[in-house]
Amino acid sequence: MTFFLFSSRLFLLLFLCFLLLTSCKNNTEVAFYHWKTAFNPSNEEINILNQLKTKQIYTKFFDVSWDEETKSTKPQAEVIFSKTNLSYKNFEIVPTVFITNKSILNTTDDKINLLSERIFNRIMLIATTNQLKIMEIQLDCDWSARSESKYFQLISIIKTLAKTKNILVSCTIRLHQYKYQPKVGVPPADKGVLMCYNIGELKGDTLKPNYNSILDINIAKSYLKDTKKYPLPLDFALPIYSWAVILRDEQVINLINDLHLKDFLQNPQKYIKLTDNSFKVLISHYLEGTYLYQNDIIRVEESTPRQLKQAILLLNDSKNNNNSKILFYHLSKTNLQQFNYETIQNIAQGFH
Amino acid sequence: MKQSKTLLKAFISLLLFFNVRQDAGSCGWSEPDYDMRKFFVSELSNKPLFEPFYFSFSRLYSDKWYSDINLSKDDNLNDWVAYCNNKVAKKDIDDLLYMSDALENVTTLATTKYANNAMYVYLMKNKDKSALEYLYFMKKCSFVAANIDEWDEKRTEKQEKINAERANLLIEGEKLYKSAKNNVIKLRLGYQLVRLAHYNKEYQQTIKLYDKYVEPVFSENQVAYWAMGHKAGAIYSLGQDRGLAGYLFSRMFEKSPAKRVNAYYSFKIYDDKDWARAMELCKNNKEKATLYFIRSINPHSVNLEELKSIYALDNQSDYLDVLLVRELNKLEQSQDELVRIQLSADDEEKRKVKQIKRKNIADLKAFLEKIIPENKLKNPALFTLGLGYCDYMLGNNAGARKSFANIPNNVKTTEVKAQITIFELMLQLSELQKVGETEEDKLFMAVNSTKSVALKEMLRESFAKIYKKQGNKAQEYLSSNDMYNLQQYLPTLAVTEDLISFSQKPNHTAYEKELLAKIKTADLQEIKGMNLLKLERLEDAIAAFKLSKSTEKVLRNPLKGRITHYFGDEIKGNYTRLALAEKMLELKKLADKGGKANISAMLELGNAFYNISHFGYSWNAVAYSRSSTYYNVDNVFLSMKPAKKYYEKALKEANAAKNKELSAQSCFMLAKCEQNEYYFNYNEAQKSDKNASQNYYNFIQPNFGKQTYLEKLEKEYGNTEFYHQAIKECFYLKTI
Repeated sequence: MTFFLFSSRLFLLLFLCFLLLTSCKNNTEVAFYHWKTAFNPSNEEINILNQLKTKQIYTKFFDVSWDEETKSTKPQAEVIFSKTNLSYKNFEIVPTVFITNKSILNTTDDKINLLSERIFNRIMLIATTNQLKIMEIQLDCDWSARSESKYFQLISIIKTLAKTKNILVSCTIRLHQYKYQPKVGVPPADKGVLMCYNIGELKGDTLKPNYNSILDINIAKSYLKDTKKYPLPLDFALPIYSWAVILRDEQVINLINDLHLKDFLQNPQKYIKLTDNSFKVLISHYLEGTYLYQNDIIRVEESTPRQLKQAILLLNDSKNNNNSKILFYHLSKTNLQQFNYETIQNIAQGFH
Repeated sequence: MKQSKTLLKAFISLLLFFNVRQDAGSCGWSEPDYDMRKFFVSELSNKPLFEPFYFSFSRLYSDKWYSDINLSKDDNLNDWVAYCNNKVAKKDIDDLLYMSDALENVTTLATTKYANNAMYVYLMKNKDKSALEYLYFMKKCSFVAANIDEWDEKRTEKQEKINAERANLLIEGEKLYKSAKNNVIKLRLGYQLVRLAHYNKEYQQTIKLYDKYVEPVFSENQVAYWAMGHKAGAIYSLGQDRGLAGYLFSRMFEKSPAKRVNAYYSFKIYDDKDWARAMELCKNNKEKATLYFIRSINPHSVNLEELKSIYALDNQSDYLDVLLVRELNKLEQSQDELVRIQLSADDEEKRKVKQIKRKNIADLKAFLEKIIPENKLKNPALFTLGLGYCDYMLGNNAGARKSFANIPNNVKTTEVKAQITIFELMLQLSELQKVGETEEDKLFMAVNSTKSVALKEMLRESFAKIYKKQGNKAQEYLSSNDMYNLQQYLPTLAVTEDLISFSQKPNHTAYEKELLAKIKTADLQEIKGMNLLKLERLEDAIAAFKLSKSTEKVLRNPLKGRITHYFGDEIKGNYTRLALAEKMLELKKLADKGGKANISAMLELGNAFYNISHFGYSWNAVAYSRSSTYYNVDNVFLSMKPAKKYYEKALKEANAAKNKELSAQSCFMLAKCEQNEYYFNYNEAQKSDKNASQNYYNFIQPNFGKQTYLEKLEKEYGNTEFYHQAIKECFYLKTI
């Protein structure tokens, strides 16, 4: 009897714990950007996507850049989907197009219509060729006051074209565009994604401990606090990438992607540590295609899980719809070595 | 013309094709582009074939590398002249190969109008069937670099068709190669085959074809090096031996001036292993020096390290000359701002950069001091000039003079003498203490004769500083500002009046004549009128505008008030500046009388002052240009005071007359003025607060909350028709 009572109580306790855990379970949807030309995700990447129950991969289909020679826009760096690795078919692919501001500035008013149609048609062509069902298209452009009206017109035209195929159009919003919304306007998209990275000055103060231009919570705060809720439903993008900023004679001379602290800490014969994340080059040598000279300064910038959690807490105040999701920039084997499933899950749980 | 355009396109495509890297551009690093001021003449290195590699912050010196097309054509024509034993004129070969459609879709020229072409006749006479077959084949291959519009939706199908044609040509070419009788034609056929395969992205085949058909007949001919470039590109694309690919590109760089830019863009070393491998493949020190030189062509390279390496390998190398001038051109970019001037104590960042720049110059100087006495250099005069220039940049004028004097007369070419003249004038200008008419004239004529744009700018700057000291305001202003600046950043009334007096004085010196060359007194009168209009000195403005005789129309109708901030297209209205000033004077007279009959005049005058300000759509009444992104430029008409004065008058009279509609209009315009003042004050605050951009909302938001006239409009005139119309149009009003 005692045993029975004890077991019932234990069962009840366990049941309550289960209820508590499930009720606290984070339902925030997590998605990723894929920003490379070759779309061929590794098993490790797919595993993490599956563990996180990721539905969407925001895939850069191509860039639109300005060609000085022909004085016209051109699509560049078009995505190539693997013909053998079809694992991406289990995910919703969201075509994302990066458009340089120069392309918009240099396209005359009468050519915006043509450019919009070309972008839309190229997206659909890639989708059809690779048998992808498209539900959303995302446009990414760091528009300025001078390009605003033409860029917004482009979004409107693409939105009209997309609507005929029941496709939503979203666009990226930089922090300054978020903050100065009355001044720079709100793009006429169906929804937006607030980009919370590339926040600080690239040059920055090299010797300031842990200076990180990718994600600086204090700067992010200054953009987000006391700002009206954005009129478009928003998702939020956070950085999980890293890079090394190369400085020579007090000038930023290059960025090298996908480098981490360990790459420098493991080579004391080549680098001497100046601060937690900056190093001085001891001997001239090549690094990922860049020739570094003796005395160059390298600042490694990467976001820590702690910083991302802080960012998430900050973003909670800017959330303006119940379906907001977190997008991580960007999906790559090296980035996922730094941010495994548990870490990402943990970060996303802060969003509610 | 059409021909050259086609060639240009083909060249660019080829360049892009060799260039195996494709940067996405969305998250990368792009180099800044600056205007450069060069005192040390790049051409002094006397290496015209290296011209694209003279110093530039934009990686390449100029677009002159397009001329590589002609270079390549010229080389090719010369090769064919040699092939025809100098029996055929270049023009005849050009006619057949480049200037006509002679070889298109024909299997023989015998029945065409080119039957008498000297090259054709020569080849026929010598029964050189394989050369003729090669020419027909070459023409068929010429589409390999065909451009397909990147947006073309059928481009995949079109590309596949082209690829299939290339594959057929590969079969045909191999047959021709086997039957070809001499190695020159074999080499050319081999090149075409390698190119076809590379363009078809058949990288393994490209390498195999090179090894099978080019390597056995390889000769010191540019075509052989072009083929080598294709092999190198294929190796890169396969991700194979990058050191080998880099080495092969460096060979093409050295041996084919026509494809030098091409090779430079394609050369890519990723790590020390690649570099070591490329170095290991070098057959001699000259080849090694080429690798160092290519590496140095980057705006941010530490050229001294590369100079030392090249000097150690080959002290007679041409690369040393180009590289020295590159380094001097880089170092001199910051000399005015950072090297010679005195900095204020609080400019820590600039001080740090100045120290670095001075150290870089001192290090180069030390290197030059070491190697010049060794007497091993091919061009010692150039290096001695460089040494003197280092001293100049370090502020050691005596040292500079000593170096220039040390250059022996027998190596003083016209170009070296011209450079010394430039340096001597720079030394004089840097020591100038006062400017009288004699010094001014003498220096001006001397500087003019050098034709150095940089030196001319330096002269004007030096004069401006001295004129400032001497109190010659007009000369000081004009030495620092040209007509563009004058219109872009209008001088104040006092300066404008000085300029008018200066322009009217008799007996201008040669320098003064140049300062005034593009500036007419009438233009200055117009600027004076604009200044006076801003100061509400309407009668004086009218007088000045009359003297200017300007007929330029003001944008839109400045007397009309608008609800939104929309600027729209720049449509010219009916008022000239003079007519507007006259109308404003008429309105002022009415407004000053007061009374309800003149409320409209008060409102219209308020509108006029509002609209001619930076915030209004008739801004061109008092400015020649308007920037939408910033307005902390001197003398921009930002003041809302005159507009507010007349709107307040209008509001007072309308309230007294109980005319709520006019009160609402006046109140709304006052609210707009108030809002503009907040923006303006924010920009003012920004000047003294480095963090202001981040404090935007800290500043603007609380102030927006205190918009007295907007609140008044809502509270007191919320039931007027005007208010309802305003709320429909005004985004901001809707959101509060």
